[in-house]
Amino acid sequence: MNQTGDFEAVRKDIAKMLHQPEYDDGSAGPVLVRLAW
Amino acid sequence: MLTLDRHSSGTYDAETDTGGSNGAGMRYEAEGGDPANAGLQHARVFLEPVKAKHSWITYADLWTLAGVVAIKEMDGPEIPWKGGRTDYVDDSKLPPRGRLPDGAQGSEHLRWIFYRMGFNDQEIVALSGAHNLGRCHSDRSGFEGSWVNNPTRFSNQYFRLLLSLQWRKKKLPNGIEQFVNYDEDTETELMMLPTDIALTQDKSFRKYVEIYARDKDRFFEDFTKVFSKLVELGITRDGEGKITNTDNEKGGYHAAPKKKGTPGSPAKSTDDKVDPSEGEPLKEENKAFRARL
Repeated sequence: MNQTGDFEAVRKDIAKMLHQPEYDDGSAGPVLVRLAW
Repeated sequence: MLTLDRHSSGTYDAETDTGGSNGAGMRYEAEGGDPANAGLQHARVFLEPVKAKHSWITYADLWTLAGVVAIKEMDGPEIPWKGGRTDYVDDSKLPPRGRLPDGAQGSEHLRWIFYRMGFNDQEIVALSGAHNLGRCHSDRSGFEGSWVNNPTRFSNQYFRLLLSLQWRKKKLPNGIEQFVNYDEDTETELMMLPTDIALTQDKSFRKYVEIYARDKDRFFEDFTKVFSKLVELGITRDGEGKITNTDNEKGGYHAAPKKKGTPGSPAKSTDDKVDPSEGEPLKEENKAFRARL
């Protein structure tokens, strides 16, 4: 179980999943920026 | 309607204090059926493994944090971010639909949309700089293509191209008009939305397009400020940074349960006059990739 409130750990895991070779231009990055809108 | 995909922070209305990123996890069910939000289904699926691992986090926090992390990882600025958004808000805080910008419109529409969120002309132009990233899909927003050659690297290239290239109007097979520049040498076509071109035609907007085109540091600085303002829309905090919205006082920090790991519209929306629904085509499309962590 991951520690509640450990945003640093979440940041690391988000960064790890950005590489998505099958997706647009190989990255989940741009569409994640849209999701924050 | 050629609405662009924004639904979290960008739904905020300053006058009525509704919308915003707080409560995104709940509102998503109502908005998920909007075809303009189709790309967001992919974004959500990408983040499901992260949510599965860190089940305590709210979607409202996860989705705003993901945007901030993604910008940094794509060579963009480090944008200050604070957690604490809840997934459940009072129904009275839910935004009505139709609060999303329509890329087919002009400067008047941009102001109408963004002034409502509390942004000024300079901030509108800075936010538009997010078009350095990603691409449009004709089966979603109706537009097609990317704004810059390297759409996964954050820079001020979008502003430079807006001013340096010749943009001509092009009617797509679906009848939608956008602006394009075709480079004979590289055989690549880049695009701009009518709202992008409007930034160069409106005197007040153009001033900032010119500043950001020549000064990347200034753009990064202003983008940092405006993006952190965006993800804080509708959020009020006390001196320690703790969110003091009535929703949080009543409900505290409540994470919605993990959503399914597949895309598709979670709920048939009732006010979409669009056919077919996005669920099926997206399901097919998503067989091509899977969310991984």
